[in-house]
Amino acid sequence: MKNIAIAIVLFITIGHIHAQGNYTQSLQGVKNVVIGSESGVKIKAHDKNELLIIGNGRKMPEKARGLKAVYAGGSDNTGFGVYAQKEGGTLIVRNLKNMHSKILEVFLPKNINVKVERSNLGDLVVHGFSSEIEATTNVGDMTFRDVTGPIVAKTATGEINIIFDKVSQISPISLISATGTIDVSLPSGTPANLEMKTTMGEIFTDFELKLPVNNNNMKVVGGRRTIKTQLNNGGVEISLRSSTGNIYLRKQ
Amino acid sequence: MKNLTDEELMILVSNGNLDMMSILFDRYHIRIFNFLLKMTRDRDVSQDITQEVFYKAIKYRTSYKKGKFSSWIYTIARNIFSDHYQSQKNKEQPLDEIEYKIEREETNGIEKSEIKEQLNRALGQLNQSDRELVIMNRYQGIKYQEIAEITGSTAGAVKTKVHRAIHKLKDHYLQNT
Amino acid sequence: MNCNQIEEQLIDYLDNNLDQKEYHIIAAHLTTCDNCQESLHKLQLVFDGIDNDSEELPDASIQLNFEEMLQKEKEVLSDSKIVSLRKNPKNSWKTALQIAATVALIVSAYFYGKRENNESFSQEMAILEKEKVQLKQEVTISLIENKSASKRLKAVNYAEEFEKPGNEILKALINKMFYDDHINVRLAAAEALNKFSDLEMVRKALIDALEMEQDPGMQIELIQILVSIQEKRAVPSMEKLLLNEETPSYVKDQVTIGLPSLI
Repeated sequence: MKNIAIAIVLFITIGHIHAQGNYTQSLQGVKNVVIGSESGVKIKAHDKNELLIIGNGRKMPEKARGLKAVYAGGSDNTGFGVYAQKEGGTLIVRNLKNMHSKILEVFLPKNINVKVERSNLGDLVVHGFSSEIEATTNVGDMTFRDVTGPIVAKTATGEINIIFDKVSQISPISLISATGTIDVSLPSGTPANLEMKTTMGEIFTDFELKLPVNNNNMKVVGGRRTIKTQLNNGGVEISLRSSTGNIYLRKQ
Repeated sequence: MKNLTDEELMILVSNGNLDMMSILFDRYHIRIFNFLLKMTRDRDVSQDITQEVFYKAIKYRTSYKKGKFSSWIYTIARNIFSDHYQSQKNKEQPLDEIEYKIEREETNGIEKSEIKEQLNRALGQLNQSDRELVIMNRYQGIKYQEIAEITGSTAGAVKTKVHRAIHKLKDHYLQNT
Repeated sequence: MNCNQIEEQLIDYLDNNLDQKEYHIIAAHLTTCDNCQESLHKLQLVFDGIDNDSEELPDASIQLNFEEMLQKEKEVLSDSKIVSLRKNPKNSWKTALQIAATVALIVSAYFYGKRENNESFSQEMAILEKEKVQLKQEVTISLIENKSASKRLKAVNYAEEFEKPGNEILKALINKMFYDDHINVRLAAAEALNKFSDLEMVRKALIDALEMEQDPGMQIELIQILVSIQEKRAVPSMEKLLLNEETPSYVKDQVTIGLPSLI
């Protein structure tokens, strides 16, 4: 019997050591998380009320033994090349490593509001949130899966690719890409006030859109193409825009 | 301003800077709402009371005397809840019905997991004080010490009561399954 | 320790609230005692259930009602000398009721009005109508500075619904078009302002915006609006865009398409 007890204790200890490959921080009292990163970011929802940063087997060079990595962007208070600090109800997470480093992979509770700031070259992947998400990237693509909105996202040249689980009716959804494609899938019963606009691109959809037949406003302006319509008798505002890219709106 | 602690914000509010209350509202209204929702299982009532909590917090802002803001706001929430409960009682409606709408249909189409429903049912079988303790401690993660501040008790007494309540909850839960 | 004592410690055991010694005693006991093991398992089940319980969100109206209550309380604070008798601050919570009452009034007014033409009644209606607009205005103003971009978009959408927005609303919209962090909000504000482009103040702001704006998407939107409202004063800014090497070609295309109809 004693052996079993020891085995259990051992097992637990090993578990602890293993867990040290990742960084965790409690999110008690935190409602918003702001993430800044030069490299790509992957954000997934999990069931715990804590921030989890995946260590991804980060290896220190042999010669760095006894030394600490320092970064221009701020102090590494997590030991993972990431600065994480609570400020009131907001947690600031800043990836201190440069744009060529590996992607930053973090887990957060699904109901926390997430804001991703100016992630430059890197892509952004967001999975499983039922909260509000704000994001801007420059070149990077954006992929959202199993989200409900509200989402406000903007990319200069990247693509935006979103599959909505269901669509929160709380406040508007707005997606903008200057030159990239926007590809959105909605549950077919989603109530929404939809606005799609592309200046040079085209719009494709399998929703049956009711378009106003005759607009008395004769001031047609070159290249301006806006589709404004209601889905399922109207609901939350959804606005999709691309200047030169195509827009794809799919039923799922 | 968003970097200020709850307490700093509330001091500003009590000095007449009412705008700061909206930051506190952002930080707390969902928690208060969920506390009340678990207590009542009635969305409408919970929303009304939540609104009233923040209305009272503004109205009686000068009565805030340092101390932990979260304890203070929960104290207000409990008072309004029990006022509400009292006034219902006077209307001589069957108590159980007001106290806990167990079988309330979820009309918003979100399917609730069975475990959650069973837990809610078990929660409804606890008396009000036990239910409150379980909600505050286990669902809302409020520490024994702070619950003691809110309920006017000691941390030790709260801990004992919470543990007893959890065991009761467990027994009800298993009986129901 | 006997099983009863052990069982009392199980919650602390699961919560990691025990010191090493107690922890090991319980852990050891658990390996030998099926009953306690079972108890632990059940507790774990309940805790898992609780941990998986997600928070519910209140209706969006709660936020609006709060903002509105706050506005009212601020007014009360600022003109507290006249307040005491006239204003009952508690009323501020009754927005929903107020709106419902308005609707009820409109409905009943319809039937009522059919039977007899009661002048004072329709006056009352007008006042109520006015109050409702004012209320919406307050909500819009308070929401437009929200830290959530989606909420700000909502405020902009509200603002767009006004027939004749007050100066305060227009200024707030112009401010959003110039300075909001999110281009999504700047674009929506520009679009909303397009609706009110018969006002000189708005036209002026749209011209200024094109002069300042760096984002190509926003430039395109502004060019389209300015062309559609036939605003000739914007021609210099457009020509400047054409000459600037850094202007993306698709923005230049937009200018080339629009410019002839302005000159």
